[in-house]
Amino acid sequence: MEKRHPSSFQQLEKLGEGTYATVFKGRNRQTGELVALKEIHLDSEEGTPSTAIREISLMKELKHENIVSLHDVIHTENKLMLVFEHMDKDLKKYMDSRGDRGALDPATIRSFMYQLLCGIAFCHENRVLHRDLKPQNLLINAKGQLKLADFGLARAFGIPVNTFSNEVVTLWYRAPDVLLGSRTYNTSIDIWSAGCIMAEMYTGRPLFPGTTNEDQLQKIFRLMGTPSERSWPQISQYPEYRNNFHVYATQDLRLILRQIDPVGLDLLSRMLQLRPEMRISAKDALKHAWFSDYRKNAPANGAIPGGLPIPGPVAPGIPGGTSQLPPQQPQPQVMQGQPLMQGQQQYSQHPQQQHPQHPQQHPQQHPQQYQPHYPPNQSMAQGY
Amino acid sequence: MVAPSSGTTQVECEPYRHPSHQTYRIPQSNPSTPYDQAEPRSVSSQRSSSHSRVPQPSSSSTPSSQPSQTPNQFASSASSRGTPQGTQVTPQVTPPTTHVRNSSTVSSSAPTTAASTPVRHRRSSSLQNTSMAQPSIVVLRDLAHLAELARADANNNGSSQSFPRRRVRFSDTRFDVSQMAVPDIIELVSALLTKITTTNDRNHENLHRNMPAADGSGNLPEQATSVLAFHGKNVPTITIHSYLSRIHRYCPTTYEVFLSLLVYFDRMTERINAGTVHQVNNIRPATPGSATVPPQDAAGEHSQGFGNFFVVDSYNIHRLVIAGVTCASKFFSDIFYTNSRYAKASKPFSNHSHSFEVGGLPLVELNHLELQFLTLNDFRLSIPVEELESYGNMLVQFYAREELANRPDFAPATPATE
Repeated sequence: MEKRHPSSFQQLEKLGEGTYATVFKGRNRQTGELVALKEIHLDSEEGTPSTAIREISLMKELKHENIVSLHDVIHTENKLMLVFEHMDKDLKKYMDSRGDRGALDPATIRSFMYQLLCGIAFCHENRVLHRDLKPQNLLINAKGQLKLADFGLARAFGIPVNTFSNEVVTLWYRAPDVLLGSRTYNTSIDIWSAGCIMAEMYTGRPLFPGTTNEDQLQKIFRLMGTPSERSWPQISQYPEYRNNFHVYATQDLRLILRQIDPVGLDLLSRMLQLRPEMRISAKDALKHAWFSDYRKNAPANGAIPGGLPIPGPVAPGIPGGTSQLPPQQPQPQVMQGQPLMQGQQQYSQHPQQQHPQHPQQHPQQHPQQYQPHYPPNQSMAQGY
Repeated sequence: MVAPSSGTTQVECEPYRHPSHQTYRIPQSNPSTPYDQAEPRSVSSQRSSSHSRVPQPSSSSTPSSQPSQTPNQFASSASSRGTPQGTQVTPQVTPPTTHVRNSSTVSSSAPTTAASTPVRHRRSSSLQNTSMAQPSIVVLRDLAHLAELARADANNNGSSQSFPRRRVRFSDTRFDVSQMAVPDIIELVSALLTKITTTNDRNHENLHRNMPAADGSGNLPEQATSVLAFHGKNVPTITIHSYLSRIHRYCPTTYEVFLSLLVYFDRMTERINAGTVHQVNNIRPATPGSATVPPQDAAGEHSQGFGNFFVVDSYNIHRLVIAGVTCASKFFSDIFYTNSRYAKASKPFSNHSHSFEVGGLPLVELNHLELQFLTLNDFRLSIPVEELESYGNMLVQFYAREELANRPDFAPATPATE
């Protein structure tokens, strides 16, 4: 059934490594095409990781220009190799390489947001929640295309009577309702992440770089204002709701996003609604006035007119698409043994910020209440 | 057995036949067809009527991944537009929900939306055939609720047309199983799997006798090796129901994990047999009328020409179940377990089968089966909600028709008492 063999691909440099997956740049020996090879080690206790099962199953169904393409799955008895289209770098690296302290120019931001929302809208139309949107999981190629990657936390929705884990989405991009303990969230959690990413593209820094669940909520409330039963009916029903949240007044987003134009700010504020039901949908966001030029000029598929140049530092042969962390680099711990993602090396401009990883639970726990099996540095292999 | 409903055409079923290479597969929603007539027939049957609603092993059918393009089953079941796909129950567009709870009486088909209608993400109803009365949807509470409705329906039918009750026939009702407790779902699923395996055991004795040894299969195609991985030398003594219950006790999960097994088994059957038939046809020229079903002796040839090579039977069902639950849990649920735990859950099966060392299905074997299960499903575990709902409905229809109707206490002739 499998026509291809691991040897069909020439393995080039390593792009990232984690406990469960290692990503290599690769070349198809027959066609010369560059690919990204994600090798997933099959652990004998765990079997095939759920992240791999979800990623493969979902990405086989999600074919879209703004979603990284899964070309093939090659398996042997002790490993799976996923063959993805090659992308130059992830959005985090792209921003860092832009010079202006990580900030992007407004035209690029608009293009990337349009493509991001196209990809999200496609996922949601197909009833898939990504649940882990962040700059490291958005890949950019030399044509200036942006594609969603890493569907290891994604899941299908729509089947009734389903509870969701709230241990999803990297902390900084996690929606307030999820932080408050919601297990019935929906597509709006991806929109919150998209809003955080949009703001980050303007400033070059994460909008809400929290260190713990509580700190994350506080950072959000400090900017967006602390919600109350009046502004958010039923908020006190959330498991993590506290009466003693510090009360902050709502701030003007323009104070921290000085370059943003009023129309873009309007869209952003619709995405960063505290109440999930108030958040704009991806489909509606694409109809927002901020994107009127795209709808007129661009093909409906979200391709960018003219494309965008990859900034100077990217040269052929430079590993892109994933972040790289030397294995010997110490892994600082943030909270309760939760590992850092490798991303913090990207944040050299603000090294005090640590990039949290998904909470990890001990694999031996039975039953495991959502055990994403996220390895300490799985996200090193991310991007794919 | 209930009489054919007004909305469908009575099938002129041919007599029950026992071709040795047919695969018993999950019957389509076809409550008016008695079981013996619902036996699958080979596609090659010259007598096969285009009006047949009998499940057929259809290797020529379209992939099931395009559910929204298939016609509404209720609108088209009589004419069988599109290939009847064995167990590939045609996904249906769900009409406005008539939400019946706490009542044994199915309300009329007039679309009414109860306040308690659960929030669903349903596709738009662009495919609805507006000329058909919309089937009402009944959200089943539990098995007792199901039995109650089925009994009422049987009584209603027993009392002839002159006693018009304003109630939608059971067979025209769509049943939603999502609110039933998992043990109830397990009862439904195991009833169907038991029926499938016992029927296939009877029809495929040749297959077992001639099954190539899994270990000496160096020349077999990879897919055949994958299939053989599930085939045990002996039939485990633990019943399917006990086995599913045990898995659920050790590794509790949600209903769609068990329901999805049926979808996956169907897809595997479809994929594998389509593939092997293709091989067969390459080997020998297809004779008229046997384009999709190989000659009966095909299974006897070891490494080529498997015919309906893959059938779900008593020799492989336990391994299929444990591998399927493992994969489906990881895909569907945010709560799942390590394979070492699933391997322990299967302990009695392997103990009783004497095919392994005492101590259970070895972890390495489960790991292997999991990978083979994924391979045989092409790593595609996504199931459209409509497809899963169709299987839930089909399962209820099957259960009412096959299980309840055969119970002594289930007396259709007695007048309605409710």
